[in-house]
Amino acid sequence: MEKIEWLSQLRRGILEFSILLLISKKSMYGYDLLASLSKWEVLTTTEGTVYPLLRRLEKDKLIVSTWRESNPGIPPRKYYDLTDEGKLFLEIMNEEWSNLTTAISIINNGEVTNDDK
Amino acid sequence: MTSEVDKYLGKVSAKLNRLPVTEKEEILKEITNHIHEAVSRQESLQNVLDKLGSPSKLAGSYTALYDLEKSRSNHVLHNVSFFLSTGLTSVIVIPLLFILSILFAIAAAVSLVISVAGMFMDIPGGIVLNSASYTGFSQLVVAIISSVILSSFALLLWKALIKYLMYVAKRHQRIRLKK
Repeated sequence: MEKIEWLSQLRRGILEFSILLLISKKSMYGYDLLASLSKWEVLTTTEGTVYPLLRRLEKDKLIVSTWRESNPGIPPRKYYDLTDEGKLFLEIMNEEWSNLTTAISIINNGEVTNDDK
Repeated sequence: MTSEVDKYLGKVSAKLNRLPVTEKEEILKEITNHIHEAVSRQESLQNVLDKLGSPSKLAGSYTALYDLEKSRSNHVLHNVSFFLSTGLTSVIVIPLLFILSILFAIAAAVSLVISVAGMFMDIPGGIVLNSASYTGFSQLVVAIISSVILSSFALLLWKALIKYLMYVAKRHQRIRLKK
């Protein structure tokens, strides 16, 4: 139970980070994002999570969407791109993420002793 | 596409009625296109709908988002209602609980002190209860019992006071978080 709760809290924040990262590499649409995330079991999520999350990110002005026509026979797709604000936010996220992983790995390797600081 | 999709979308739509029309239409378009996209990639329709989840649950994850925003924009109203309700009641409740609790505690102490003192100094009268007069040892027993009763009243009121203060603090924290 505790493990599941911990994991779901961890995923919640990371999902937002992963989505912004994916969009920063290239314009993406919802189905595309879901498929990309599902390549990793730990990031696999549901439609009911991703679509509302995308709406929130758009309302927070971190991403913008545009409907674009694709191949004939397939309805238009809603593509997402990062805004300038989104790019800035992602930079901060990247930095904090590396701070976090560095700290955890130092603790994990037992390199921290009380004499260090 | 098929009637099955229409039925699904109809149910979602009904649960989104609280949202502004443009918002609702955009959401429905998003879901429709997701279904088309998935089916065009050879996913079975049943599988696609299963993954979307029940219509009410899917709609719920959209409306939850909307409600959160609304509560943010109602910040002032939340504040006003908080200060009106707790502001008015706390003026009466807090001093009342505090004073009563202190008074009961004092009464408990006084009843004990007087009866103990009475045993040694023979204060005339003792405690009169049920028109019978208790003196000496029996007076002390009655005093202890009444003192226990009085102090438990004091404790009860004190606990109620703390509970009330925590309740107010909790509500206050909640409105302050919604910036």
